[in-house]
Amino acid sequence: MRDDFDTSELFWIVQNGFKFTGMPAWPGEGRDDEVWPLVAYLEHLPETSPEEFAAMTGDSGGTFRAQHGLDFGVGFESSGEGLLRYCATCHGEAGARSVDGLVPALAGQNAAYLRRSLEEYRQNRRQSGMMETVAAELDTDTIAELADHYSRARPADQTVEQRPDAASIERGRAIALHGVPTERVPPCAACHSGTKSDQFPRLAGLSAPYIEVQLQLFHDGVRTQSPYAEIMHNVARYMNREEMEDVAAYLASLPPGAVMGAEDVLAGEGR
Amino acid sequence: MKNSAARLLFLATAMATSGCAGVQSALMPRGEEAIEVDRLFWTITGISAFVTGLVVAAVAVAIFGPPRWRDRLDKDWIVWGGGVVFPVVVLTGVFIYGLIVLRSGDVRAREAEEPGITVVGKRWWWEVVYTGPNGEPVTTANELRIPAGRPIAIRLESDNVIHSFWVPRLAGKLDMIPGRSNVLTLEATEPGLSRGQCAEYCGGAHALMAFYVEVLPQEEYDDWLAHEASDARPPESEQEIQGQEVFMRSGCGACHSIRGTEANGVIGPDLTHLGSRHSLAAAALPNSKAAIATWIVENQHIKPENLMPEYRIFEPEELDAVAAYLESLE
Amino acid sequence: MTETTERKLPNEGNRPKEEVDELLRIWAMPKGFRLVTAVNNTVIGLLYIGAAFAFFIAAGVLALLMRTQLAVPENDFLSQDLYNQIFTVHGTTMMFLFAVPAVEALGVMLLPQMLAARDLPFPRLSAFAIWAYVVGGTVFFSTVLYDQAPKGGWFMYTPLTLKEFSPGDNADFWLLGIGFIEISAIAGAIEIVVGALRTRPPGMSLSKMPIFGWAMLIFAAMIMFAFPAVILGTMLLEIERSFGWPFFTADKGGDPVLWQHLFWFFGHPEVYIIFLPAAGLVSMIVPTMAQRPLIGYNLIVVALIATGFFSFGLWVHHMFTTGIPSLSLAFFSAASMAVAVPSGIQMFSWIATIAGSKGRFRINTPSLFVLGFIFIFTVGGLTGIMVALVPLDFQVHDTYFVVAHFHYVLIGGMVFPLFATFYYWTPMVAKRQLSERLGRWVFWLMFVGFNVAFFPMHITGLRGMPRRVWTYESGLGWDWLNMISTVGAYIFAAGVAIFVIDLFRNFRAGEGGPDNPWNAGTLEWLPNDVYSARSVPLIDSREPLWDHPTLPQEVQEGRHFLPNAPTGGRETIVTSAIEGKPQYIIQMPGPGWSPFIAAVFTASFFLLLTIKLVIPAVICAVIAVGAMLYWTWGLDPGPDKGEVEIGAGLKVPTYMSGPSSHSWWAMIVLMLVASSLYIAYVFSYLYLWVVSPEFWAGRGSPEVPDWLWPLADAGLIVLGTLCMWGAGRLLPKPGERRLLMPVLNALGPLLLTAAVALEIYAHWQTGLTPTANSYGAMVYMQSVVNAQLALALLFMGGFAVARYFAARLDCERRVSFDNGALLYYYAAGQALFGLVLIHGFPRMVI
Repeated sequence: MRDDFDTSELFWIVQNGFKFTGMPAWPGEGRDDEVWPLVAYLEHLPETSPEEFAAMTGDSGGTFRAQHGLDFGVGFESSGEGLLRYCATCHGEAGARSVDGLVPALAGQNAAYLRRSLEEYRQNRRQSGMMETVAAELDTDTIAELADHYSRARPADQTVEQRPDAASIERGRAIALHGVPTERVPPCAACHSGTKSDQFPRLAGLSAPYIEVQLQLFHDGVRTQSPYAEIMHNVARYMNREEMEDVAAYLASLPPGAVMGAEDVLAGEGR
Repeated sequence: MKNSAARLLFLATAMATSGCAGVQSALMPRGEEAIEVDRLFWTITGISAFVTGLVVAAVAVAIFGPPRWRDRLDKDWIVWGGGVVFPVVVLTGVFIYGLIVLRSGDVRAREAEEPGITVVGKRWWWEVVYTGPNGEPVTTANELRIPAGRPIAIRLESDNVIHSFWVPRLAGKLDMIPGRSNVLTLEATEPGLSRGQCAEYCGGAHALMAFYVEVLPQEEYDDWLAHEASDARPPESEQEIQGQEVFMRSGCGACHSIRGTEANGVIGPDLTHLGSRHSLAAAALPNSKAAIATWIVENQHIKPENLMPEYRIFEPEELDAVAAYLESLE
Repeated sequence: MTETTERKLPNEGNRPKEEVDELLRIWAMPKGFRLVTAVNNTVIGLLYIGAAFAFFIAAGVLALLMRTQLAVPENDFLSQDLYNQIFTVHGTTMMFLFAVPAVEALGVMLLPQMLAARDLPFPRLSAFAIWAYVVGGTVFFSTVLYDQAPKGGWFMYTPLTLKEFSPGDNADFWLLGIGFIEISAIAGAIEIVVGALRTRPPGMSLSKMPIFGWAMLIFAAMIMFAFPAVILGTMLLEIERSFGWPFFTADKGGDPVLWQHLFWFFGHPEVYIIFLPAAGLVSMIVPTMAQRPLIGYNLIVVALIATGFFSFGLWVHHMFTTGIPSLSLAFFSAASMAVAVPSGIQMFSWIATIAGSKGRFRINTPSLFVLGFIFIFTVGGLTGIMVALVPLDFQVHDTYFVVAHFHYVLIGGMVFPLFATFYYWTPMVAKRQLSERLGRWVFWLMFVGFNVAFFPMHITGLRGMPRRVWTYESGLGWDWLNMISTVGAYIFAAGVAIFVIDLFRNFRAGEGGPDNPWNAGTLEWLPNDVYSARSVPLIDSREPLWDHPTLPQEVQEGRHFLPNAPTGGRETIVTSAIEGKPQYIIQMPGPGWSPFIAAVFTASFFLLLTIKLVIPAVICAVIAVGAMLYWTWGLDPGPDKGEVEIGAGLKVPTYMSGPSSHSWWAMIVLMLVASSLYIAYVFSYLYLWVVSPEFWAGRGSPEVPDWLWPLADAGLIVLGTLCMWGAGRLLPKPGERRLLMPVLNALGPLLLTAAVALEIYAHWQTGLTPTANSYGAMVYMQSVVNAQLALALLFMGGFAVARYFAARLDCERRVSFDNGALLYYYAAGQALFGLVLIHGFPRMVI
């Protein structure tokens, strides 16, 4: 395969699909950030030994699976225990600790937000090649059950993130709690502190890479198809890359489920 | 261009009933400077009409006049007289008149106290900061109130692009330029309502960046300012209470302030006494509960490119409640 | 009109008929698609005016769209964003792609004819300028069709047009459009200055030059001093947009108002740049229709010069509302009023001339347009006095009152004379006249429509309507006024439409029209063909055709100068600047692909750069430069043809170098342009220092480099200058070799380039960066300005060296070298001054 296609061609194929072969285009429109890792993987594939492959996919019950206590063996099931196991392949057991920083932990998240997210994936109003294919198979009741399940699940006790740069966290904290009014960036805590509308996700303890990617998608206008996303687009469009990283570092440094900034959010330091 | 017949009809009625038409007209002055300029304007218009008549008459004679008349025009002195002497004399007079008006503005500016009001041009609205009764800054937006009968200095600033502050009935315009601070002196002669508008093209929704100026008698102004400096009125009816709750939990306070509540944003206009203003969104809409609700969900349609996103996330009764709450903030 | 006394003509006796055939062959117009290679002034002049007129129509359509939108309040015919694009493109196109090019085109087309010159002195330069303008202008205009058009208004105020508030390429397209007009305007100015001063017919002293010649001369001089300010402004803006050098950002010590100064220092004179030639045209038409010479010729010339002079002293009247101290307000107000006097002089000269008509003043389409102009311009001038009054301007500035005012001045002052020109001069370039019947319809519709459209706007503005609004609330007293304006706009458009119909029905370019249908007195009405007049007449008055009724016949029979083509190619007579004494013959290039190719690829270069396709842009630049080198290689023919006889026993050389040569004059014009640009830079530097001294060296920025740096730099520059001087001294005799000459000639530009590089490094090593603050930006900008010249000199040096080795450069055939050397001396002076400014000034003020 590597001989037939160069990197950019592979990217094109994965992104757009292959006409007349039945291979569909990548479902997450604008999610080049999802396509590239897959291309990297495809390029790496010829060098992968069968054992490595098996270990990665968990076929032979390798160390990876043991580490995470996951069961990759199952395919998609539309409800019940099987479905939860399926979700867990990425989001982790009970959604507490996901397998990768790009995947959000779900435990303790607001149920209304989780419901809305799955509905948006299902209706192609939020883009992801992974989640859209999953959500398409779910009905409204199942979505409600899943949301209910994860919102009641207990978050992992502490964050898996390595504590990054303390200065970055501090900068991120200032942005999250007070915004950057001169640059038209409002404080994150105004909506996401954990005490506001349950339509807004709680962000404390979410992984930094996930926050960064989502902010970038809002910034670039990829994630704008829902009324909520439009609001976030209007926030993130004024943020630069560094501010996004700082905010993500701060949020990741918080214990999951914490109320962002506790007192000083409300006290406010406007002018 | 839809139903143009209806529009024509409307136009006819507008022509017949242009009663409030002068609210932004420099020709219906209610301020010292505007009155002086109005006089200056009519004087020069008179001179101009005379000169135009003179030129037309001269050309008519030059073409159609009897030879004897034409001979009189066919002289070098006509060029010297009409082209040099006449304009120099008239222009000197006019220039001096202009200087007198300019100087009278300078005198007014000197009489005025230090600026107690700052207006900051935003995209595309006006932030207005008064000095409260105790010297504290009192922030409001999109409306100016000043006392009648004395010169008021207003500081004009911008933190983005160039705007220009203009209330034709009171005085000429002055630009709001980033990095600078200009001072404009307004002296309103009598209480009443005027309309102003941004005069320097500032991109996007420039056309929809207006505001009202309410001139009040001094005592009324003092009362009003004291009220304006106070915190927002707490919600009373059940709907207002629900509205406040929705407002607070939906993150509106990230950009807007309502003093006395947790909403303390400084990106958008202050809403503490929104209900008492004449208009919404820099005079893009009249102020009413229905208009507030419409603005929240359709503002990009009403005022394209404005920097507030549309909040199409509310249930109808939530929207209604928020609008009721905001309208109650008098 | 005196009876012709017996005059001695330059050539007695009959000329052989073969001479005419040869002239026809030499000046033949290329056929078919090769028409794009044509360089003759009548052909490209026609193309130029045609393109400008097309832009007038296109921008006029945009105006109609706007008027339709504003016809009723709260209309939704156009969206806000589209409206903002449309008014920006309308203004930019009318000012930059229509008005300036149109008057320049008239200069290109009419001036040589009025001087009975065979062509302008640099035909390929005109061709280049015109094609660059046509291609670039078309691309610029088309952006409005695909939502990419600029939307900052035609004067593009910062900071609205900075990247932060105008992301995307839209604003860059504006800068692109301006770039072309800058190129073609400067090229045109060179042509016209040299053309008016050096290609007049023998005997036509400056005091006998037609008023239009004077108007164009002043027009060109104003371009030389006004355009550089906006060239610098657009450079600064594009550099800030692309690289973030903060010239206009207040937080970093820049100032948004700097842009306004630079823009209006150009923008105000530009209004007169447009108006003066139009007034010149009127001064040509009025005497013809009156059948008598203009009254007050001298006074009018003084008035034109005074207008040009004053116009540079009133740019601030566009900025009265920015918060300027009263004293400056009063000064600029007075200056703005004073400029009314020269206009008054012209107005009353015309009236007196009309009154003194022989018989009655003739009323026909051209004279109707002239009369319409007199009325409209009078009204526009009077409202101009109103806006010059500071307190009144505070009210009406940026309102529809101002919109009305400048349309009165510009449409009245330029469009009406232009239409008069169309009807008046068509017989000169076409096979027949335009229709008088349709012409009257055109005039009355335009005149009535114009006043119906624009007069109410005065009131709309006074009633508080700001300009540049896409919609307005009903009930403010603007509704029916706007409706009337819209109706008027459509009436005006109907007039223009009938004109277009007239053009299609009656306009056929080519020779064979009536020779002098109006019985005019000036030389453009001599019988002419592709080579212009058969022979170049000896002139002894301002209206030679009236004073010597036999002149057309004499000229046609070849009894005047240069009835033939002695060098066997295209040529025209060069005369002395003041007296008009014949000095030599220019040998001029004929049709060729190089200017066309150079222009198309220059346009493509800027275009591709705008949309950030760097590599294709560079390829285009290389092709463009290649074409230019190819084209210039063929110039500088050398003295091979010796001296030739042009009539009256005069033998003149066919080649000239040094201060008498036309290329020397052109280079002087170019140097004046460069120095105006530099002065604009120095102004900007000092201006920003006044605004933000806290960012200057030693305070908000690192100390200036040690004295040794500028000293070393000055050493390099002086050394380079000595090299150029030495190279000039060492130019070999024809046929001989002196190898040191090309070495020195190459070394000079290299040393200058090294000096620029050293200056940049000197500041870089102190830690100063151009993006840090306005001081850093200004310091490095100085090197950008110098680097431009160094780059041009590298090309010119390489070119001269190549010519040396091709045996095309020696102590006689030396213009290629002289041009480079002249520019070098200028550049060295500028660079030395720059060192004093950049290194001395901060030390002085600390």
